[in-house]
Amino acid sequence: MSLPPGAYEALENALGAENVCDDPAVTSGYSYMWLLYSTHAQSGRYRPAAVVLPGSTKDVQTIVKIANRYKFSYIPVGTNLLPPTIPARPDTIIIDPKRMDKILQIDTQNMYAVVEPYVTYAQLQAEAMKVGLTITVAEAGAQVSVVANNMFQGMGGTGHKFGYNRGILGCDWVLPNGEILYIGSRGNPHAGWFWGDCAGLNLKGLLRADSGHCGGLGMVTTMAVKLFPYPGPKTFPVKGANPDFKVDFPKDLFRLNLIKFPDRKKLIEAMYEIGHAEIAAAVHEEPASMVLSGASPSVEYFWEKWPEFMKQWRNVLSVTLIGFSSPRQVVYEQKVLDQIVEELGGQYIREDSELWRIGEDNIGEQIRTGLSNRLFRVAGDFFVIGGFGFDSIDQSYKMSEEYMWPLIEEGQRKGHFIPDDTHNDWLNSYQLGHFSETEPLIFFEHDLDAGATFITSYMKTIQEALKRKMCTTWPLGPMNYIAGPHMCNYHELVLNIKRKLDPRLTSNPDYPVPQQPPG
Amino acid sequence: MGLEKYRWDLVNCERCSMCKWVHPWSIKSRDRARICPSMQKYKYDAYSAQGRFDLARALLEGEIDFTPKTLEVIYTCTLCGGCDVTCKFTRDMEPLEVLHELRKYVVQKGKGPLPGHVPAVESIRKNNNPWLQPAARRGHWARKMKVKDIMKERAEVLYFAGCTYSYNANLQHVAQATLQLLIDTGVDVGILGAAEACCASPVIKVGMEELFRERAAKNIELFYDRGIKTVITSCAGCYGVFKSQYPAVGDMKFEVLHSVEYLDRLIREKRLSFTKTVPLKVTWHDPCHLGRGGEAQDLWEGVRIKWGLSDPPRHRNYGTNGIYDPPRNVIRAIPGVELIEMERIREFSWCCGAGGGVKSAFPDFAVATAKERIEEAQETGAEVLVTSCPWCESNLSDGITAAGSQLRVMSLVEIVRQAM
Repeated sequence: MSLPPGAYEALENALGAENVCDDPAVTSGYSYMWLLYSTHAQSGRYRPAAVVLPGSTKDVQTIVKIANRYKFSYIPVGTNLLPPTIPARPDTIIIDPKRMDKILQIDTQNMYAVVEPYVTYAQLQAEAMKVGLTITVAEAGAQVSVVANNMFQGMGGTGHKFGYNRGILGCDWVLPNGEILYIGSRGNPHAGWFWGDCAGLNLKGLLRADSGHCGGLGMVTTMAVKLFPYPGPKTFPVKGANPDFKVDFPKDLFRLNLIKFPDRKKLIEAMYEIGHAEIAAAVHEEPASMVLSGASPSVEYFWEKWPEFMKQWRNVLSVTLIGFSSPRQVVYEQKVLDQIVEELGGQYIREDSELWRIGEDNIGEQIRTGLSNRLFRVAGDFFVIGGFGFDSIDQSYKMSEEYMWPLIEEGQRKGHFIPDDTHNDWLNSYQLGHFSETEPLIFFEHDLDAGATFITSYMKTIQEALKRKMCTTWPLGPMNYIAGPHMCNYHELVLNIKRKLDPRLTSNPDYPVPQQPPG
Repeated sequence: MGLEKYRWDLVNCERCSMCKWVHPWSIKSRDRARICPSMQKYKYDAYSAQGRFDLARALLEGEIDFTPKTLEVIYTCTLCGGCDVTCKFTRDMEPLEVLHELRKYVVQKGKGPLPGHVPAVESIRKNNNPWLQPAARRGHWARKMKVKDIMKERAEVLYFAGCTYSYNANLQHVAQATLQLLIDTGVDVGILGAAEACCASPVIKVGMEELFRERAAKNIELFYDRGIKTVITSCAGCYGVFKSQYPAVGDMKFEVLHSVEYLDRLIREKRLSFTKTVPLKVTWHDPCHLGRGGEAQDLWEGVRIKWGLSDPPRHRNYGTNGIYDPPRNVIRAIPGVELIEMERIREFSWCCGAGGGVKSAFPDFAVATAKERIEEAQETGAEVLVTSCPWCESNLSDGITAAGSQLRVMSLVEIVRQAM
């Protein structure tokens, strides 16, 4: 786990000794990751050879050039939540952007912000709210990097209204050879950051494609992201104390509806109707496990409530209305929603009920994700069963019903996944229902047997999707070799892009697609 | 069991990063979003609870050995407990307990504490205080006061000044003012004088469990022998260790109160009232060991079973039940004083930077942390930063110098005395 001779000194000379470290006490902090442990993958992982802290785009360029000169690899990270950022080979350094943590600009006229990679959603949204703007916040949590998350998927709680990953505007992208590529309007001198597209070839797709390149194609050092109108209080309205925070948005401008439908088909019909009517800011089918974990101050609380709660919380749609223009917008949208609910036999969960008390913080979660990491509380490890169905709402439901839930049930029979007979997915509407995504959640222990069941099931979902010619999303790294041959060999195209931009394979070498199929 | 007891925590951390931040819903700005001083200063993940979990796991599994950097990573933490609050919102883990255990592990392996800690530790052994001062002079701060010596006569209430208020000439007035106020309000109070000994907080903070247990046991025994019903201290460090660590050592048959709690009680019982107006704009700094660290710890011994449930079920501290309202009640009761809150308060308070042995081993880090707090306090428009902990007062004063600020640091009791 050491760098080629001279490389460390070159990094120190460029960045200052305090911004480069190869001591195991420090590199250990970048060597361990959830999922990897329980899926045997930890054994094939390494501590990084060093960690570097660049302070600017120029620093990043220098690091990348040193990596090319001395032939070692690097992984750029953001807030570092996902497994692909743990080194899979020994001579790899981590580029940690903690010194690049500035909000460079909030343009209220054109509604965008320019940020560096270590700015989190909570920080950016807190500043945006002061000037009447907001951003759709990652469902991974508001403590994650705006830049990294936008490059990965950029989906958020208010995606029904604000869209799915439409947030990236101008960017400064350090390519694997150390040159800078300016994306969008940044490509035109003096044009600024306001636009994600540009004249000529649009390279934004190259930047992130389906789920980003996981650091395999260099590092975005500055990004402009779209902001949206926000009519609420200037600070996030939280009340209570840890661990029982509650949110308290003004009800005339922010209204949460929790609606129980007779079955999932009716619920899905309602999602479409809400989209057709072009109302609501957030529309999600909230699975019982997610709602209860979000309301659980401890694992003991969750397990005490779970057997009964999973019987009661079924086919519940969460719909948040926001009065962007005025309170009258909420009044109007509520009337439209009432009609849809009545026509489809839905019933509102009463605000004086226990179910409401448990689910009411959905509105806070949709606006600034603060509960989602409680999913790990349920059993230790958590993920979704395979390839996030990204398609129409119908199709998402179909994927879940046809092959994801049977796999979950198989894991439950083995005792590896928690008991859950709800068939509730986290089913999300994006872009007014034109697009959807489903995440059937599974919870398992940090245990090698359970991890094996999880990873086997995950792989099966990709194969099942391919069999049915359904969308298979999120085949990270080597999994692209499974999906690619069924989809016009897209993986070869991606490989060619990787080879062209990163001929020495310095930038997270196994991403977006490794050079060789897995053995 | 030691560190081994926390193996479940170590392998289950999913590095969500919550330990590095104030809870997202409570973040009010970009600049005041962080909760961990160590992360703010040193940047690398290793300096967060997540990184220290990784380090502890790697040490336990023999993946790495001790290096000077290992010790630096472990000891550049103020043990403020900020990470514990946000982590526990999300997970059922015990970051603060792990950080304490990690230091005990270092000492057991003969690698700690650090050279910077040794003079204070040795002084506690020899002089019963960390300040290299003779034990015989401990009670001198009260030599001009007419007060019971509990070693000679009984009193219901012990005023426990603590080492810093006893010896630091710049801070002794706080102990004097508090004691006088107790006497003036008719409390049956006494002091231990030269017999008062360090609470031993500084030794447990650097991982020296054996010495801590010995000293804590002696204190408990002394309090019990002297028939003390209530211990009042003005030092948040003493208070925190009495509340959170002493119960693991011996049976606490006496009540422990911080002086701000007692002041609040006196006001509520109308035994203390104010006659003068004090026209001041102030902001209150929650000392970590009075707030997050002021909760009694659950002495849980058990195991993790299926799904990570604890058996037997354990109570967890969320940092919420510390002493937050009493000082605010007192401030609001003083005529003319306007309290303006900072962004990070109560369980999300930013540490002053002095705790956990940091002030003695990493003074630059301590001052950098204090400087950030001073800047945050200045943003409120307050003239005075009020607190009630000698470590906070001293280090925040250093922060004022470093920041070139006009702000003043005052102990709450000083303002109370001005209003009487």
